[in-house]
Amino acid sequence: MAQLTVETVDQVLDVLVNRHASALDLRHVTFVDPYALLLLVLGMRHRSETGEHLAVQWPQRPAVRRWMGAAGFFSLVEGRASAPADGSRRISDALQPITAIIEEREVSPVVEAFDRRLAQRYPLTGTSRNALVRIMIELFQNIPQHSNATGRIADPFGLAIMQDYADSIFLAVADKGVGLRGSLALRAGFAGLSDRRALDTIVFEGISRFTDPGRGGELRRIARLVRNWDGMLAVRSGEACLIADAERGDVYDAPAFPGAQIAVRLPRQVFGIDAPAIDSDAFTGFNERHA
Amino acid sequence: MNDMHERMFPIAPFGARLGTRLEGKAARERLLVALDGLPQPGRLMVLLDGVEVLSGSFADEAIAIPYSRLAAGEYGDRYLVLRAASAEIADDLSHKLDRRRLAALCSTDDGWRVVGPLPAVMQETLALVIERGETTARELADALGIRHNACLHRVSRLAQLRLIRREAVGSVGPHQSYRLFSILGP
Repeated sequence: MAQLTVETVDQVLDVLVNRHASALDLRHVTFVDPYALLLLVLGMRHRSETGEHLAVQWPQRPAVRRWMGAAGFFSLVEGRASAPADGSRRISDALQPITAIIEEREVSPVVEAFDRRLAQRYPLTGTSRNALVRIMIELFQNIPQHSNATGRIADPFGLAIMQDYADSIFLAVADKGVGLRGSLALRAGFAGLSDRRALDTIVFEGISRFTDPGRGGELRRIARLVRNWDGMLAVRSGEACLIADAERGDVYDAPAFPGAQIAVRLPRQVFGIDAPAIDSDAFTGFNERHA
Repeated sequence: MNDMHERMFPIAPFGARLGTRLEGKAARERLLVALDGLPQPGRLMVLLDGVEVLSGSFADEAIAIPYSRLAAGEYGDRYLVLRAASAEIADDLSHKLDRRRLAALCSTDDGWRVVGPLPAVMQETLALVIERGETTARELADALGIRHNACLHRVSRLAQLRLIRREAVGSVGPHQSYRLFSILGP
């Protein structure tokens, strides 16, 4: 395939995880979106944990390799597949590189860093920045709150990334923890659901593993916000993937993969962004602080 | 007389952009200490000025859960009132209060607003209590043109939600008689 996106990355994941292929050919990939990039990281980590050898042929297009490098991809998969020589990081290519989310106390500093990076690149109003901050807080804290809800996952490997495009801001959050079904199964009466039903229950009914009525409902609210803003939301967990926008909201079958992976794409006009990006050294500064 | 003690509890010292459940729990512990130390009858003004983001998770832990404990009668004759330039900052809190079937009163620059779900007829009754400052169910029933029993039902629910203060003053026939007070300051 030419592009690795929300719609296509499951084909690669299937090859990586379920078909146990020994080689992955990405040479003709011309574009990778942030959600697909996180799934690639998690898929390769999954392969490395199984000890299966994987030979990867990276995208031939320099711009694609450069962006993957700038997003921190190659350093994350280092040791699992050799990075191409020109996969080095370049500041102007990535808005916010892949960032690990492990503990809840780290969520606010990470959100601040993402927000600072957005503000340094664009002259946003406070209102528009705050809208995205609210989404980030809820999505990011889901990782420490839910990805290891059973306490049996050694490392859910929570990751987040943000990228800007000519028409949109794209936020992706992913982990390889217990997934929506695994989390919901801890609540009495919700064990034994399919991935599809668990996804429906959490995203559309606003139910979480907690019986406390104040808990849950955040993905449902985000789905509504994204729809109202004419954006796109993808929520993938286990063998189910929801892709929702202003026109549709369908759940598809997906190749089995642990954890939960979420993408939010919002039109730039939601944030009042009509000015060109202002680049700065913020990217470098962030990585030095979080090295 | 509706002489309520009043203390302030600013949220801004916890941060301008709030935040996670963990941060909300820390704020809640401080808020409940302040509420517990408030002389009765008392009003704790929860100041949202200076807060730019109030996430649903933080708001639930720091504000909605104390409201639920207040409504359960754990804090006696004490009340919480939100204070913000505009109630828009409390949008995510409104969602959490809705899930808990609670509502809060928010004092704003242009008056007051209910945060969370409250039926229109209840809002109408609440507005009348706030307008009068002090009243009775009988007076409200006359002003609203509804039966006394219906009005008693409404004010009982408003008092349970801690949106008004109710003080027993005796009994009239089978009914307990109350004086009703606005919990908003002058």
